[in-house]
Amino acid sequence: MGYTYLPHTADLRALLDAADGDGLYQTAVDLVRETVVGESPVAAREERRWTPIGDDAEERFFRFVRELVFLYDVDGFLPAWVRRGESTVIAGECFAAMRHTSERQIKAVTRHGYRFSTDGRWRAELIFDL
Amino acid sequence: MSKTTTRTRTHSPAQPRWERIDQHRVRLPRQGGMRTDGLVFADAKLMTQLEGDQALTQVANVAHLPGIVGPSIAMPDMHWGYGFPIGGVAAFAGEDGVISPGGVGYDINCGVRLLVTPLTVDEVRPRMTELVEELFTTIPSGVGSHRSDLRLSKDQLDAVLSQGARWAVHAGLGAERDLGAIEAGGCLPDADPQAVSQRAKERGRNQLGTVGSGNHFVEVGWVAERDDEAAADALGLTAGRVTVFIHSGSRGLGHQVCDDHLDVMVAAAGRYGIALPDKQLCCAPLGSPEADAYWSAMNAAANFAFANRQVMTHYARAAFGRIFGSETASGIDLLYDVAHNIAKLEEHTVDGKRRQVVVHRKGATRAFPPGHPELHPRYRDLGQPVLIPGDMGRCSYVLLGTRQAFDETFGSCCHGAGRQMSRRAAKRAARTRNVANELAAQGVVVRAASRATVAEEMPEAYKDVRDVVNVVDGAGIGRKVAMLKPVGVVKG
Repeated sequence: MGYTYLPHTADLRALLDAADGDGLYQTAVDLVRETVVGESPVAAREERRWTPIGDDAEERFFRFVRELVFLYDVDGFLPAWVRRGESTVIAGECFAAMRHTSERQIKAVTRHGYRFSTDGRWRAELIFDL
Repeated sequence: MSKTTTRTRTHSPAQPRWERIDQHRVRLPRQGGMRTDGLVFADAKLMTQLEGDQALTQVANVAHLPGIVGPSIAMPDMHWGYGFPIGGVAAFAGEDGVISPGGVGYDINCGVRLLVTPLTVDEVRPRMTELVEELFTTIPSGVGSHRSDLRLSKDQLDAVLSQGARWAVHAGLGAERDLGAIEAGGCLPDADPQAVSQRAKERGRNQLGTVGSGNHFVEVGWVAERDDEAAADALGLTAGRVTVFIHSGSRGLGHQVCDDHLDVMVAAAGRYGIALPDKQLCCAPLGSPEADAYWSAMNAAANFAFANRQVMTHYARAAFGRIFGSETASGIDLLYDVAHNIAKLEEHTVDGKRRQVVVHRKGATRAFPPGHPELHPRYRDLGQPVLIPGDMGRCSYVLLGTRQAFDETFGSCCHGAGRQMSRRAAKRAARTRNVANELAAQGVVVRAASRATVAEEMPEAYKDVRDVVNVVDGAGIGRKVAMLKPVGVVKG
């Protein structure tokens, strides 16, 4: 389980790979967190809930990653872990300059280059507009 | 324009075929499902820099969209974007014409404005560190930046979305004279605040007057070279004059508007039977409910961006005032403010007929010629100022719009240097270096909210803006007026 960076001229492109859906969602949490605050430790001090939206697993995963970007932009909420369900729980804490190093902002998750598959392993390819 | 067609080439199986037209132009002949040719402004060096980049494929993809009129165009600062390439220009019209959020981008009305101060570089240099620190403190930058002194009520935010920069000026954050120096007077009339989602408003409410992060900046520079002395004088760009570039957009509000409407348009494209080579090119026919909803929201987000840069201008003036006195602050003039991520309804000649077309500029600048009726009388004889920021170590340019641009590129020009190195590669290259110290040794003081940003935005990460500007100047779609060199930069 994890992600690897792929070449891209201006933005951030990554391949996420996990054995199952839970692993892929957690990998997305790790990717978003590490993109915005690097290796700064993030504790599960509070929780946010998200109701899955989308007709299929591909769209639901895309919208989940987009929710992570939204939570950080609006509240500075940094995700630590995720538990999937009818109401998905995202645990983490809000950015605090004393504890976290600001690395960069993700403007958006693009539909360009988005790929998703559950054939054997769960994989997704994402491009973040930075 | 002399045309010397050379052999058809392709650099990799992934790239479309292209052929050189002349020293500054390349054609992508119609191939596959393309409805029109691609037209790329690039010399041999810039074409080489596109190897491994998907921008040419994206130029071809845009040419697949229904209702495209004229070629799918890319400027010399082009690089891999999402949907459209960065540096892309395309116009759509007629019954099958479309509008696409991917042709505008997430940062709706991302743009630049240039201020001209009454100071000379010799007066400012001794206090540059102090000035950069003051700008950094006064104009919030970086991730999640917000203003605690400008919290908008719901009604105020709606007024910003309707009125753009006018709201800021009427709120005392600028001078009436500023409005004449902004594209469209800083206010797009088709904006509807009700078309902007609550989620978007939530993201934007506290972000007015902030720089953001990534490639956004506030840059203090000076007039180092004057290519057209008469035009430079007319714009107040005397030799050694200190200037301030402000580069930012509609912040989280614009990003959310784009996201909201991409969702709608992915479904709409299917409903209207529009085949998409890339989902990010999702679109809806002009005049459809989906297109109208996006148009209203996009114009509102664009107004937010105009207001954002206007508010930042107010605080930049205040920062200069605290260091150089109130007379200096009140003498800071806005030279121009131009959008480079936008779709506009404009009148152009297509196949010999005057037509209303929707021009998408994604990383491209409007460049209207002298005499164009949309220009403020101040610029009517000169042509529209075209602002081309480079990287934080080399230089930037002020150009003027031309008749050639109006005839060939729907009145469009380049918007910057264009990235050539990935952010990860730049960070790797900076690992054993201190980029801020290197720039300081060159006489450029940098202050950033994030060390990572300075590394990722290092000068070598960008093409040399001189190469880009030489192509547009050589092709006649922009006319060089002055070159500015940086002395102080605030980054997000």
